[in-house]
Amino acid sequence: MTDVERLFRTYNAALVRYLTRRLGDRDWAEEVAQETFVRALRQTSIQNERAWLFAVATNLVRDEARKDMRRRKHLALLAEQERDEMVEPAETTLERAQEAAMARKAVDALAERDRLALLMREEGLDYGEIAEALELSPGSVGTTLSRARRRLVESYEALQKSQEEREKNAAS
Amino acid sequence: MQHPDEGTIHAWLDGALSPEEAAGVEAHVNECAQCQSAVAEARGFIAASSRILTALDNVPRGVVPAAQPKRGIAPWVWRVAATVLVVAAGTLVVVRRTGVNQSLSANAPFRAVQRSTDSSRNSESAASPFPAATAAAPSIQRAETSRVLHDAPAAAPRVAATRPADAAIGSDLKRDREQNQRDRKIAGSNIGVAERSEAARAAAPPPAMAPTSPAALPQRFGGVLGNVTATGAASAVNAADMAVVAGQSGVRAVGNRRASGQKITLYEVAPGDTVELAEEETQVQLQAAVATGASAARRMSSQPNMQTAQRATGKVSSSNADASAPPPAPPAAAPTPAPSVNRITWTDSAGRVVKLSGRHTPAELEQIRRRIELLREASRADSVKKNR
Repeated sequence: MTDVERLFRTYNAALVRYLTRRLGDRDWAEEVAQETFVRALRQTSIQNERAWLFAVATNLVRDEARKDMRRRKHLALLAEQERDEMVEPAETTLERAQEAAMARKAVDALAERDRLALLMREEGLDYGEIAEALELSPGSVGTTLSRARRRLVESYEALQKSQEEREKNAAS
Repeated sequence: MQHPDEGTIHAWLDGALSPEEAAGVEAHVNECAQCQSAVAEARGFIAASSRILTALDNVPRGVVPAAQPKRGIAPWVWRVAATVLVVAAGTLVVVRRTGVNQSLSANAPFRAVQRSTDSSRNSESAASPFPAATAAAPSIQRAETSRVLHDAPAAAPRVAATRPADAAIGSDLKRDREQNQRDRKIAGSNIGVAERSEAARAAAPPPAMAPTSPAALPQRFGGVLGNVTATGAASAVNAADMAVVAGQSGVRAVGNRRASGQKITLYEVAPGDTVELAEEETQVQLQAAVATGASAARRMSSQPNMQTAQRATGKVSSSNADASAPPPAPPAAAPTPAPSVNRITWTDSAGRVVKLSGRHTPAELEQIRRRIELLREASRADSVKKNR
């Protein structure tokens, strides 16, 4: 088993999930993840594999964003539309789809650094890895994460509340 | 130890602190109620944000294709639909017009015969049709015209005189009147000038009608005028006018059927007295088939009026008649026993053989023929006028 295969088997799932959460698009996430592993091939040595992979993936997304902000905005808009339309399919998935849409909004409301740190943490990266990937001081990761979590939850709860009010108004 | 800040609490809960730091936080939290609630809150945030982020994984791959149908109908679909609608509407209009045309082309023989009578018309009928278009004639004038009819002496052909008014005609006429009203609707919608030209026609009554009008007419038209005037100017125009037409000819078509190669029209020459007019049809059909453009358009506009003219006769008479008897015109109990069936044959100007048969003497049939031609002539004049 080559090194890249090992990297892929070890980190692909987490990386794709992280990127999916980050981008809201599974296909896009997989593309970025693959590109990340391709770049890992070219590296002679990687000190912290997980931190490196997440950092590169994050930078790829960021670079792409820098390269073509307009296209990204357009894609994000499309992704949002799709998420909104996703609400419809079936009664059983309606609630889940609404949750996903609100989660998306809440995550998007976060500052980029907070969002990435949180998503990385969710994938099991430790504070050192997050600090390395995001080029933060290790001491500030806790603060970043605590702020990200609080804001995420507060945003989500606010969205939930307004959603409930809309439903109440619609019912009455 | 000071109260740990929120970041430190999260780091502690994430297991990111060094063992020493963690021990210090733990010791403090155990004794600090405020920090205990802060830790509890932090746990809540960690769990909640994890749960929220898990919801982001609910991004099925098929999102884009699945959402596609709900994008609404593509613009090209609307364009196609609009095109189809326009074509369908256009087709409907054409079909409806063609339908009128076809149904009316069945009456084409009439016009052919009428044309033939143009040349063979005698002096008395020559004066009657093609009235001058003195359009502004008041309806009073028409009423007078009809009254003249009413008062006309019974110096009509014997055929009509020997047949008293028959109640059986009433319902027949009523049916015709209803049909007439329907036809008038169609004609009115298709030909906007119908009413106006009827007024023009009524304003110029055939002057020479009295000598030829059958005696049966006064009875049938006498009571009508009041009724007609009550129904309003337009229908009064029509009714009075038609009374003139019918008064002139004394016959009316009560039905027709098709046999092989010929069209058979049943004419009523007097109440309960009918004759059959058989006309060759092949040429007519050809005519109809090749008629295009202006000629087809003319037929389309002119034919309804002819029907209207014929049926208006019924309209005029019906109010006076008893509606109890069934429609079929030739009643079993014809008042006067007629002679055996005779037939006269002639060739019209279009070269078609026309046969007229009925329980009449050949001389009577000749008279009836003339009256039928007169009726058709009047109808044709009517049509021509409306076509202008």
